Amino acid sequence: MLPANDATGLTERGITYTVSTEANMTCVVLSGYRLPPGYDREQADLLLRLNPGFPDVQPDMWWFDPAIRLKDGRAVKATDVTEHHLGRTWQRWSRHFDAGQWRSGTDSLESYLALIGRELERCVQHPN
Amino acid sequence: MTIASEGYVRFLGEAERLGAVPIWVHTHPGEDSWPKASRWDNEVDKQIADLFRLRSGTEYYSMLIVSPRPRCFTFTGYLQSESGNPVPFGRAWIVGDRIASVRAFDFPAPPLHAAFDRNVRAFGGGIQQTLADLCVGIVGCGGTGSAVAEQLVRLGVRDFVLCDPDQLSASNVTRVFGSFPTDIGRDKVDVVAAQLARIAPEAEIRANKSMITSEETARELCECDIVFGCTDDNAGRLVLSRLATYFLTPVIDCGVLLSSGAGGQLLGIDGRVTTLVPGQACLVCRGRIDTKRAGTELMTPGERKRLEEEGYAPALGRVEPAVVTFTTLVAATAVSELLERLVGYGPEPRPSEILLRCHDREISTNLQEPGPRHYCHPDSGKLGLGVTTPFLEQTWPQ
Ligand SMILES: [Zn+2]
Ligand SMILES: [Zn+2]
Repeated sequence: MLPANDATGLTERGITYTVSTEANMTCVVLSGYRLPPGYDREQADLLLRLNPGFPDVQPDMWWFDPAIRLKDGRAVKATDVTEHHLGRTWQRWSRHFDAGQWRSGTDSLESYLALIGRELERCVQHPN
Repeated sequence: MTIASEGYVRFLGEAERLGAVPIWVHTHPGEDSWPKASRWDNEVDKQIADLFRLRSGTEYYSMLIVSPRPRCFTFTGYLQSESGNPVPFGRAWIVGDRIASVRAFDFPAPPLHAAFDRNVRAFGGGIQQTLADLCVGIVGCGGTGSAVAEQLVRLGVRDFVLCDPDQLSASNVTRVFGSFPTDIGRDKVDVVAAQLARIAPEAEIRANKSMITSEETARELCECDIVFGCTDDNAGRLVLSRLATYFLTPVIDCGVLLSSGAGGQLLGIDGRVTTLVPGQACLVCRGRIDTKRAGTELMTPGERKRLEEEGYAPALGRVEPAVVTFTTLVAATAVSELLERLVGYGPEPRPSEILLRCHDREISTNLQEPGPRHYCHPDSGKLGLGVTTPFLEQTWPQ
């Protein structure tokens, strides 16, 4: 179950999502997440796995199904690992916060999605 | 005198928005007045109870009458569901820089036992009565937690909620009060509970063999008047930090850090006692919690192992050095902090953290304001918010 401000934040932005738990993690699947231009598809399902203790505990990595690449066929760095969650196969985006980058108890799902959006745009220019 | 409904209806709407129960409060002025409902008060209750329930969307009606007393106040009141009998309020628990307990006018204190004579000579019968009335949570029943429990029960506390998932090991007997070699393998909460019962057979003790990172156990702690944090895990501290804000439960969190060289020589002895009350920074704002480690502590063993192997999670499980003198010193400092907040013998402004640098034989104190936009800040609207969905507005393991 998501904190109220995270749930309303997703709903207000018109995002279709499901929440479930697996291995103690709160799994949020955003259906048809819109990718920025430059990728080989316009949308993919985005999986976020939130630790118990979120939003004090920072999230770590995110996952796409289907796997995405750049339009020209190049792969983005640190996206080559495939994992199984919720009975599906996901492409793992291995991205981690530096110490102090996540403001514990202040940052939210909204700030995490903003960070994911920025990173996806950055990787179009700098896939490696 | 009549009271127009415009005066209070808007607060009923506010209560509905918050998911709270509104309380109809009035005073009976004068230091010699009786704070008991008059015939007219009963009539008013009958007239407004249904409106209160309807407009605030709760099944409860509640009222409170307050009268002044020298340097204090007295009161009566009750909470009543639609079908049940009124449940009278027995005690008010006042939380701020100082903390205090006030018994209701119709719940007079029983006479104090002569055993507490020396305490009463030190801080008076009122404080002794408060100690007897308190429900105290102790999170972690190791060296520090058992020493906190031992002191509290000898001080006169008679209602405990203990939490610890672990069993007593041979290396715990060197620090855990009330433990004997024959207890090895028993649950720590049972060892501590047995010791409390030996000292005070009438004490009420609830022993939880689980972590407060489980939602069920965390919920039990909101019934406590005050909680001592004696755990060394980061994830548990995250819960305690939120509990202090959402339930206005004072949390006295303590920790001991011994730094030893590779050859086992003791280099640093640092103790910390932090008091979480409204208006003071929480443990997160103070940087007292390693949130990255907290995340790892809460993972399933499989997930943790996988991420540790990839280098994405800090390795856990290192056995930290610990010595009974220092855990006991920090425990005594923490319990003294409760006494100071009740009695008020210390200087103002009251520091919210005590740092014991034992190796230097030095003590320092500090005050820290809540971080802007953080949940512990009064502007966040989270202070005293109570039960939320999800509980404490965080995610929980299932
Ligand atoms: Zn009255
Ligand atoms: Zn804070």
